[in-house]
Amino acid sequence: MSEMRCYMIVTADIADRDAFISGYGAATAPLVAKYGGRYLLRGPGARLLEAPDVGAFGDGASMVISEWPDREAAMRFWNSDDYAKAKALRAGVADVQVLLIDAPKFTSEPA
Amino acid sequence: MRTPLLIAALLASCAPAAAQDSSADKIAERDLREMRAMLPGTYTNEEQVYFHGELDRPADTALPRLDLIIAPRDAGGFTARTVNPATGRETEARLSYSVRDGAIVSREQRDGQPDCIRRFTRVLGQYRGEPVPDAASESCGGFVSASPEGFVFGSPDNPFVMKRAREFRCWVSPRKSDNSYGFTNNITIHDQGGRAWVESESGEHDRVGIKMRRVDWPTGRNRDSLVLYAYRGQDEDNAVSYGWTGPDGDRLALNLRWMQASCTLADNE
Repeated sequence: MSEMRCYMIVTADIADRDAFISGYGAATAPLVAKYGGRYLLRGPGARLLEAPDVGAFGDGASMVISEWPDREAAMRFWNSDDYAKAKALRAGVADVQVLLIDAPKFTSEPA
Repeated sequence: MRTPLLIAALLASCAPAAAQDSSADKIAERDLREMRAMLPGTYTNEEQVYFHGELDRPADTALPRLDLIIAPRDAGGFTARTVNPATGRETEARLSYSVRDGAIVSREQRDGQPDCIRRFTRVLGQYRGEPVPDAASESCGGFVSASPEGFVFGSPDNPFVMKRAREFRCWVSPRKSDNSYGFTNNITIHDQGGRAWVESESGEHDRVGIKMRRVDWPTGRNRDSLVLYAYRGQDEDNAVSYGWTGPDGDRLALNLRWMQASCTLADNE
C-alpha cells in the first residue's frame, strides 16, 4: 500500500435501517472490495462530543469509514457506474455526508 | 479567375453545413418548447416497486419507492422534488434548460453537490439525456429519459421507472352506524398509488380509505387496468375490496354498501 492512503468517512442519518442494510449496504460492500477499498468501521450510534451545527449528522448518526490505496482508487469507486447503481438504493432512505481525506505523510504508522 | 472560383467553391461547400447547424438549433428550440410543456407533473415508481416484490427479485436491487414532482419555476426552469413516501425524506433539484450546438442542454443543481450537465437527444417522442463527460457531471448518477408516459433515470442496469400520474377527484360516502351515509367531496388522489382516508371524529362511521393504481402487468395474461381499492379500519396494507376498468378510464366507482366511492379524472371535470 502506498504512503498516501485515503479514507472515506461517511456520516449517515438513516430513516429506514432495514431498507438501507438489505439494499444499499448489501450492494455496496462487494464494490468497496472490488475497487480496492476495505471497511474499517460500519455502525450506528455515534456520540457527538462537539459541533456548532451538524443537523441530522450528530448524536446517534451511523458512520462508515473505509480505507483506500489512494485517492484515485476512492474516486474510481465513487464515480463508477457500479456505485451509481448502488447509490440509487438509498434515495430517500438515508441522508449522507461523505468526506474524503488523504492520510498525511506525518501520520504515525502503527507499531 | 482561379481565386474567385475557389472562394465560390468553398462558400458552396460551407453553405449546407451552416444551414444544417442553423436548422439543428431550430429543431432543438422547438423540441425544448415541447419538452418544457411536457415536464410538469407527478411521477411515481409505485408499479416498479410493487412488482419487484411480486416477482421475487433480489433485495439488493430493490429501488426505494419515490414520488417525483416537477413544477415550473422562474426563467423557464423547473423544480424537481423527490419524496420517499415511506420515510418522508425529500430532496430538491433545480433544473434549467437551453439550446447549445444544436442540442438541448440541461443543468441540474442540488445543494452541496456539483452541478450535473446533460445533453439531450429526441427520438420518437423520447428525450434522452446523457451526462456531459466533465468533472461537473460526476454527480449525475446516469441517464435520464423523459416522455409523455414518464421518466426513466439512473443506472441503465436498474433504472427508476417513474410513470406519470393522472389526477382524479373523488368523493367517499361511508355508511354510518344509523345506516345513513356520510359524504366527503373534493378528495384528490392520483392513479399511481394515490391514497386518501376519511375518518369520523365522533366515530359514527368506520375509518375508510381509497387508493388508485394504474396496473401494467409485467407478466401473465391479465390486461392492464385502472383499479380503485377500498380500505376499512387501521389495516392500510390489505384492501377489503376493489373494482377496475380499462387503463385509460376516466371514471371509476364502487358501491360496497358499507361505503361508496367515485373518482373522476380531474381534466374531465
